[in-house]
Amino acid sequence: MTTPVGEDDLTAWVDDRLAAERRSVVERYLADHPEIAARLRQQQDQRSALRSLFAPVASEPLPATMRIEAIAASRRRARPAWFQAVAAALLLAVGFGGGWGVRTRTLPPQAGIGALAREAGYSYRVYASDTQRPAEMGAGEKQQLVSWASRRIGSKVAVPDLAAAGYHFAGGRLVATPHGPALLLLYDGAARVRLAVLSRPMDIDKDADMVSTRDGDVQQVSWADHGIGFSVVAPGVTSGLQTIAAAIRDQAATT
Amino acid sequence: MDERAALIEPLIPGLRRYARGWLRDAALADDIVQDCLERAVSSWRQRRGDAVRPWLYAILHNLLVDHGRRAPRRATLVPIDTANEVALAIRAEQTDAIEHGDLLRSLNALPPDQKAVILLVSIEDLSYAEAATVLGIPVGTLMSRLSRARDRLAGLIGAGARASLRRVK
Repeated sequence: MTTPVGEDDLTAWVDDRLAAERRSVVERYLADHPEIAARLRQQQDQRSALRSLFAPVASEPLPATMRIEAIAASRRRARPAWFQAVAAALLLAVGFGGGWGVRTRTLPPQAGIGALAREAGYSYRVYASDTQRPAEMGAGEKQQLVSWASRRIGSKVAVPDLAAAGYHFAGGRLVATPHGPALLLLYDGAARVRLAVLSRPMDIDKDADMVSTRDGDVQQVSWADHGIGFSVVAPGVTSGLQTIAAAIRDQAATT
Repeated sequence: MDERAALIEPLIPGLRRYARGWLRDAALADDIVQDCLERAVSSWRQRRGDAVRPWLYAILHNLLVDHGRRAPRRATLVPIDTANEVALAIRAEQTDAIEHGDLLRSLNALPPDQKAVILLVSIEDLSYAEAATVLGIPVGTLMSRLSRARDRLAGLIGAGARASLRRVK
């Protein structure tokens, strides 16, 4: 007993995709139904007309830009510069055996850690040099600052204790960055050296190793852990900034 | 040549032909194929076990559909001279009964869904299962859509031919 002929058989007949056995079943059916046969033959004619119409396109030579090797090469070039700078810094850091042998001087800052360092530098220049009112909330209002900033930034913040390094907390404020609000904390050290710590959520570089940058008269050490980026800023002549950064990172990890 | 290139490059002529079936402007069609290839290269690893051919056609098809959604706004910016140019290389000779200009006009008059099945099956020679994968529909739906599309195309071609006969009289 044969399965009845269906539309799918007829469609496959037009495309010449029927197995020989089934094709003879369909052709017997078409012999009995001349109107359907005429309709399908017309579809076959149209199919071959379309094929010959479009055939020349497939024999056109390929544009050089469509070579897969060319596409792969341009993708390698298109990687953002900051990616390469950070990648280079990390590679160097590995080579120097621990992350502290490195001083990356240029981090084109559009996004990620480079942008964070640049923002920290801006904020430092504006607020740390302000002797009148560097902070919106002083050291006495630490708890209020913490809860206000945590709410605005949308992530729990803490004020690191840098007494061991000789810096005491002077106050803090929220600052505007292209990536939303950031918390700027200010610390005073001996000989009126002022230190700033900027932190904000990171979209890119959610976890990043420490990178040292220098931007004119200030230096920064920046990194990110669990989606929060930190950048510590001090005058260019200050020594021991990396030790301080490491202390902040440790404290953030344990709170 | 790496494996990726060995698998993708032989399919590019067909991809260009498919895009040309959607867009008369050859340069624009190639731009979209280029976009498709760049996406394919960048998401090559996410392809996992999928067969390369339907995967590539699906990327291209979706780009063409997206382009079609934006096209009405863009169309007003195309100079008339350019729009009238038939960029597709049409051979001068005609097949027995069907005039090429009429065939192209009729193809373009089909709803996008129907045009897609005709191009994928009749011209690109994708299997029914592959074409169904590209369009994200069951094979049965594809078969009946193909049958309806062919009937409709025949109707459109017939209408065009009758119109030109009337003009001749």
